Amino acid sequence: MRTFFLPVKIRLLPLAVFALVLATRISGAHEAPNPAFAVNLTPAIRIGEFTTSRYLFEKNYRQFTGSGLRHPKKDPATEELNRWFALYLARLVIKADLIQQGELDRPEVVTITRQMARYMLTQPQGPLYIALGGSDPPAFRRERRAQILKESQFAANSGNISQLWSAIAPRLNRKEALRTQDVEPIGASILADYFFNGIAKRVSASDFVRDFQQGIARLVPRDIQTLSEQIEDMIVAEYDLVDAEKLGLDQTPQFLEDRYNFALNQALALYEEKLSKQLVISSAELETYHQANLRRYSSPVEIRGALFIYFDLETARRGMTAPTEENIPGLAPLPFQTIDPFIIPRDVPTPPLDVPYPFLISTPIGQRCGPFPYAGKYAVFLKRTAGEFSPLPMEKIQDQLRRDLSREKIEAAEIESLMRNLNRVQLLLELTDYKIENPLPRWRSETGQATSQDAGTNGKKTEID
Amino acid sequence: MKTVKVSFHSIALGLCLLAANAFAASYLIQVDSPQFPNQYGAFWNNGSISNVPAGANFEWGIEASGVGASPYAHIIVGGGGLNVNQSVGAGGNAYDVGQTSYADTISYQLSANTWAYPDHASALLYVGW
Repeated sequence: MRTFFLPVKIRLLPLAVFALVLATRISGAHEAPNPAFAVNLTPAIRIGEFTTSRYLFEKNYRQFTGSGLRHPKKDPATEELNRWFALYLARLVIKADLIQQGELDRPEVVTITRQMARYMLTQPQGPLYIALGGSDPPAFRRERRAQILKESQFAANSGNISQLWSAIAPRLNRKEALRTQDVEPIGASILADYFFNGIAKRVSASDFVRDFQQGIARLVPRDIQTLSEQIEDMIVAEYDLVDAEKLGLDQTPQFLEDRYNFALNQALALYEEKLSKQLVISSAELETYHQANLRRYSSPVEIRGALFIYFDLETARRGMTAPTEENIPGLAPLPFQTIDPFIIPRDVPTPPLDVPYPFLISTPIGQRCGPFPYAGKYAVFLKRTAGEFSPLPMEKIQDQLRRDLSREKIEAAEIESLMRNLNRVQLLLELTDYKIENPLPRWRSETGQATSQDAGTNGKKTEID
Repeated sequence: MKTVKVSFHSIALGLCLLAANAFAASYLIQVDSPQFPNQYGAFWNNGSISNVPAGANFEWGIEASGVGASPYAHIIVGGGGLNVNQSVGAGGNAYDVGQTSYADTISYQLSANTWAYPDHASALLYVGW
């Protein structure tokens, strides 16, 4: 038996973090926000018993105003903001109802929220490393990671890891999910031994796959080295989680708000999924939607250029260098083989180059891209021309069309539902601070509800009870 | 969790923009072109992130700088209702945030290409809550 000790620096830090958290709690909601610890918990919007905080409103607001590619960046138009606010409010009303119906207690919501909280607490960019990492969290993480692996006496079994890689690689190469049955024959084989808080533990192939399946936002391993690092990461995360909880990082106001917001989003997603399944979308409707949005679902029918094939990755990388005056002469190596012209048609079942078509479309004409794996070697593609734009065939984008149309319909239904529930909404924030026109008086007048209470209240507390 | 990167150079732009949106982004995938004159070329990182829940936030940033032959950075993200496909050339940068609309596996493709020193390009992606 052996005990794993945190270094003194880390053992003393809980006190410092606790003091910071405490100071934040005492300081009240109107202090200047420190993104790591302080959040404004003042209610922003009330719907019956349910309130959402200023912090969460602003987080959603910032996400909207920061979204939508604007180059150079500019603020969204008032109309866009108003539309966003309507949908935001509509979804808040639904969330309030979902809470009343006990939907936050659904096992699916509870499980995924717990998994997500674990994921957030153990991230290299998460609160633990922000709290402990000082001015250089990545460097601190590297040190801590090495220390944990050393002190836990982590010992990998490279032979078994190779076996696991052989079992899962074919699926991963086809971009398929990791399945338990893929590792059944070697499920019990031990990938690593280690100590956790003095207790000897082991990671089997099945443990790894289970952890992977249950984990949130897992990066699919690209090679055996990535796989080995992910096994190490499992152990590091085990320690990180315990330390993050010891430090109370899962109890900070921001973390709790984010967690609550996430749980609400999960309940909403399940609700929307149920709505989506109830929607009946006919083929004719899909066809009409496709025709009305042809531009959005169009792309060049083919991409033409030249393909330079090299024996190894390093030479192929140097083959990316176009032989122009701006480059050092002789830098571009001669390819082992050149295919010119090389045509990549859009609508074939097996494209000649295993590269997403959208990537080739957006590669500028005259530029090289790659290197890509190609027939056991590496290739660089020089794009010369793109064919004419034409609509993508319906059968190829059926799922996407159905999903897009379904989303539009659900959003319309949510707004409609809001209009029926306006009397439950109470705005407790200054909308003018966010450049949003208070839509409630207009909506109420449009829906025939009384307008006396909120007349002229744009920018002031608005109650519609 | 894994941070994927080829090198770590001059991502101040991306990080400043990302930090400005304090919605706790926490997952970083990055590809960065090299800074040394003997290492030109394309740096490419593609893969997928499984089990991304609905309502997860994502942020991405790309930038390409330099005065030589066209550096460029490119990003594609798909799945979960995300549909990102953006590239920038020399002197350009782009950044965006969004939210997944349903649980899914997100596929990503990042590339950063440079042809001449001191050109630089990078592309990065975060997923969080």
